[in-house]
Amino acid sequence: MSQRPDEREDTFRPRVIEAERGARASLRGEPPRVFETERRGRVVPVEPAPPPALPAVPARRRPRRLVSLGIAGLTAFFVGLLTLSAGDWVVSLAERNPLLGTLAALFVAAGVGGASLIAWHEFASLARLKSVEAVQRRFASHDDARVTQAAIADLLDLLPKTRETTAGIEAFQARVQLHHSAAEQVEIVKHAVIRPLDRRAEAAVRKAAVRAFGITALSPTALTDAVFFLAVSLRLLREISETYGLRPTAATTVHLLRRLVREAGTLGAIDLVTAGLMQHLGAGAAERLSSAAGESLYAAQRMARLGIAIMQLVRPLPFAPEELPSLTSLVGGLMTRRAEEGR
Amino acid sequence: MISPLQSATDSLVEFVTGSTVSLAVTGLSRAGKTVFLTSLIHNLLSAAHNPNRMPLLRVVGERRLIGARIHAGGGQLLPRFPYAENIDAMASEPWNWPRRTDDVSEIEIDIRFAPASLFGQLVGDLVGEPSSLRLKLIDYPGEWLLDLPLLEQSYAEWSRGALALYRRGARAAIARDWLAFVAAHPAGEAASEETARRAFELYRDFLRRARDTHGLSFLQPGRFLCPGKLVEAPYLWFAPLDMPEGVETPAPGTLAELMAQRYDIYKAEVVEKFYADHFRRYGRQIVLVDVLRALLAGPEAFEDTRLALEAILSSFRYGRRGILARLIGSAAIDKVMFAATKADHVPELQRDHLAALLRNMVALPALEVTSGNARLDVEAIASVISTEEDSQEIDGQRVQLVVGRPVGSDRQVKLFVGTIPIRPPRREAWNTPFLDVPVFEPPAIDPSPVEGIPHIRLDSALEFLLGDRLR
Repeated sequence: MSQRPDEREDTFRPRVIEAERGARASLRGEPPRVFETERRGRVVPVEPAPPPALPAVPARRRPRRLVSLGIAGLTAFFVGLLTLSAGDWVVSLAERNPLLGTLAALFVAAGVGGASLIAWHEFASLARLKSVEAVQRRFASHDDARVTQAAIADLLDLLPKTRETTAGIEAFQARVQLHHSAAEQVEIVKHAVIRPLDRRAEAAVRKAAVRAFGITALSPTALTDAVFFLAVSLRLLREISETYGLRPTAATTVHLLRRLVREAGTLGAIDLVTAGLMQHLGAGAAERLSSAAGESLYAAQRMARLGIAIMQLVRPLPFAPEELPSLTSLVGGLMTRRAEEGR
Repeated sequence: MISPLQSATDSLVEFVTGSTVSLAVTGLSRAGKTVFLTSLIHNLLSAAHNPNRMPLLRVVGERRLIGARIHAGGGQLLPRFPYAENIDAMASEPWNWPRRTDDVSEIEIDIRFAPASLFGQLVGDLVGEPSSLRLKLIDYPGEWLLDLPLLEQSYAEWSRGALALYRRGARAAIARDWLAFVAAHPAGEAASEETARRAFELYRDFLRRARDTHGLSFLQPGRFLCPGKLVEAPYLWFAPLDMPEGVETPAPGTLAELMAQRYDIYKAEVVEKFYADHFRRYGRQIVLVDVLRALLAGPEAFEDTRLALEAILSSFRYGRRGILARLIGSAAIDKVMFAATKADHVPELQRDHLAALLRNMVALPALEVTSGNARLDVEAIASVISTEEDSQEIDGQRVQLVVGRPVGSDRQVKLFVGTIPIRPPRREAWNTPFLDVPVFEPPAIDPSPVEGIPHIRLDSALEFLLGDRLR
């Protein structure tokens, strides 16, 4: 049966419809109450799942007092010697000619100022590295959402302020919600902010591996091999560090190298990946390579391993075991890039 | 009372050494201050043996804690906080909670730890000693806190405010006898010792009923409910009267003048001394609030708790201290933790709601704190866990609840607290007041400071309050 036109108008006319009072759900739902049970005995409370205990901070090895005293004495000797010599130099020049004395004093002041600036730069860089290590420890140790939030905030603060990172940080801020757990927040920050930096670091590793391959092939002696390898390694260390927001100075580089050597044992897992690479290439193919090409290939492989180890060292968000870049993936990336460049 | 010279000397020593933190444990009556202090002390003492109990307190989690012990102290002015007796009450049969605090007591804990910073390590190497922090704690009846706002009010202001409040809602019914007495004795009546005493007795009876039977908290003066060592002297015989608007100073010879004189003596002799001795020098504060009890007791009690918190918190100074302020001993609180206590009475899934509700309750005082450049956090904690998680079918739905054994009973009961809202419920959404929240007995506790006491986020609260001083 069709509606009359005036009835249809009634149906769609704007109006207020009163909801039934009883239909409104109570905000608090069921009222509180107590239920008797037949259970006797005492309650054994279980604490809410605690985050895993932090790894023990290794006790600082107490420096041997005699050695410390000796170093302090030597330092005092050299500083004193320098100060007295400079003073003596300024005074003797001033005695000969006051203008020369003033110039000498200005040079000394410039020298002290320059040394202070370098020392401050070194100190600031070292402090930044310490912050990265602290953030790494916090990520490795906690799964509490608030601690993770604080660690993420510190991590974002440490990253270089490039356009790419800023866009990543904005993407992270847009995605993350209050209800996200610690693991979910880490996952979001990883995808939005860290992954692009990983790709850039991996590109640096690939480039260094290619460079090591080329230099070793061309290098005339074993000594030049070693020198070139060291130079490329240092450059790689600085490049990867800068990618993740560190600006390594001499002291920071030494600190990183010390850590690299110290943690070489723990990074030994990479060797397993190397085995994978050898399978990937095929043992027969490697055997058929000439001796020089074999050495070059070995140098490139070592450089790539070193690069992965450096990434592990300076990336503020520690790699999960399954995320660690493998030599296979790096070589894969190299091939893809070359193929893309070839088009 | 602490002399200004002693105060200045203490400030200078504290400034130079930076080794003492006074933690103000603030809370209304039955908020759980005594149990909080007992659990805090026991867990700190135990942390050297069992660091897994306090993993979120970083000095413990990072294994830098060398040990904590109760400071022997010889020159303390106040009685020692009965830590050992409290642990004994919880650990021995019949298992019960520490008795209610009826007077002020204090305790100091020395915490020795390996510093985390390079500078701290260097100083430690030079001095040959680990770092240490002295934590000063004071326990007192929660009722006394509500006296602090009186310092800012005259008798006339207090009387008008109190009567306006007591004539509203459920309070009007509880205060019927006293309100009738006030109506029969106007402020301008001739002063009489007998009338003043009768007014005091009726007013005190009303306060007691409001606290014990109806779960109300905003009840002043606090010493009427919990006198401590205060003997019942005539200067305590006062009560609010119906003061006409615009009258600040009562006429001579009237009942109101007698009451006002006694009110002023009470402020000067009791409240001001308590404030000067114990509340001026605090640097950190934890405000304990039994949010669940206030919520279950209904809208009157909830609003009453909120008002009481606002009144108390307006008595503290918040903000970061400058060097000069620290030297002259002018302390301000620079970190405040609002803690919803007894979180173990709520299933784990709803604990965040408890904290959110508290955040909403203290929104106004929180603004005061943050605008003073002090740091603030809100947490749901349980100083001692006395329940287990369980579930129950209600109207065909399986819901989470907690189970515990009430004190003195041999059977466990399940407590269902309903849905905890994240903001105060609207008028029509309140349930009937539920005042019979069972008092569950404490869990099995090792009285020796080895295992510690199971808790919920006590370590996280301590990290917020003290973490920076334990680096």
